[in-house]
Amino acid sequence: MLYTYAIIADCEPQRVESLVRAGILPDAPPRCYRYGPLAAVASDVPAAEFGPEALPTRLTDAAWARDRVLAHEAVVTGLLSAATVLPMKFCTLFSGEAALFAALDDHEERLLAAVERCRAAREWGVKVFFEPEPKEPADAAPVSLSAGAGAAFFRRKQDARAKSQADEARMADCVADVHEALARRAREAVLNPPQPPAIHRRRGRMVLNGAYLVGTDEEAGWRAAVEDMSARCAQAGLACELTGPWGPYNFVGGGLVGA
Amino acid sequence: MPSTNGEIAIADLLDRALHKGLVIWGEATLSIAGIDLVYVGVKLILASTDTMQRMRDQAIGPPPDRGTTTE
Repeated sequence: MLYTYAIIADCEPQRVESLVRAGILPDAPPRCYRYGPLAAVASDVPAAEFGPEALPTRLTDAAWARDRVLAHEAVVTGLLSAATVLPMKFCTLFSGEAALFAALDDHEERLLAAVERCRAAREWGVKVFFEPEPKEPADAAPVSLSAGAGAAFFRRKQDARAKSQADEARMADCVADVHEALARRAREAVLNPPQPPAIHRRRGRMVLNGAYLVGTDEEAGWRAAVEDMSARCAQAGLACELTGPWGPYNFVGGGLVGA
Repeated sequence: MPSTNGEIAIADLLDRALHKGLVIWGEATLSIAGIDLVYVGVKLILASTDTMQRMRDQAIGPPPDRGTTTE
């Protein structure tokens, strides 16, 4: 079976094989399968591990799955500097060369269009986190039974609620500005659902999870915009985080799901 | 100003490699349609950003502009 990491263009196959030596399994080096101007980068893997019966079970082994995801990414990342890369979804498998080439043949036009879109561009991720100020503990105020103290207590609560609503509104404005500014300078942009806290594992609430396909000749300007927007975020009490460059995972999926 | 913190959250990779990426279905394609079913479980378990960074470093060496954080 062939485990396929990416479809690439604009690269010499020999160069690819010298760039990425480690594959999805320790003894499965990636190879280039050339198809006209395109090539698939894939490793021969045993059906005992990756076959349709075996794979779902293997993936429930967290350590095994983690190593495979990281190996997939290492190949994609290793290709980025040398080729136009269309990263495949994790665990894309073909029964063999015939099936791989048949798929390339079926999708050639759309693959070539994706290569055009992604040529000389890299994907970056921008996440923004919102950390609301800690609420005043309910029992912080001295307890008093006088009418005046009660009114003051409710006023404080009302003020706190108004402030928190204002914070939320300011946050939403800022997040919209950040995405707009970064999308304007990008070739394409995608807004993904914010990760839940159990996944991002840091303080605060994720309020923006954007991906941006940025032309390499636009990168300096785009990075400058990220810095401007980071400063804007900081003023609004938001933390802005940049990751990348990534293979253009977010910009190759749409429209390529065949019949 | 962005400053390098040297860490890539594995969650960001899983968002990409498991949810996104090129999908081509041919007659003999054996892509795992149920991959999303293991997505949450795999993501929760795979906590180590350290391993991830090591793999990336091994793959392309340590460029100056990856994994930056602005607070």
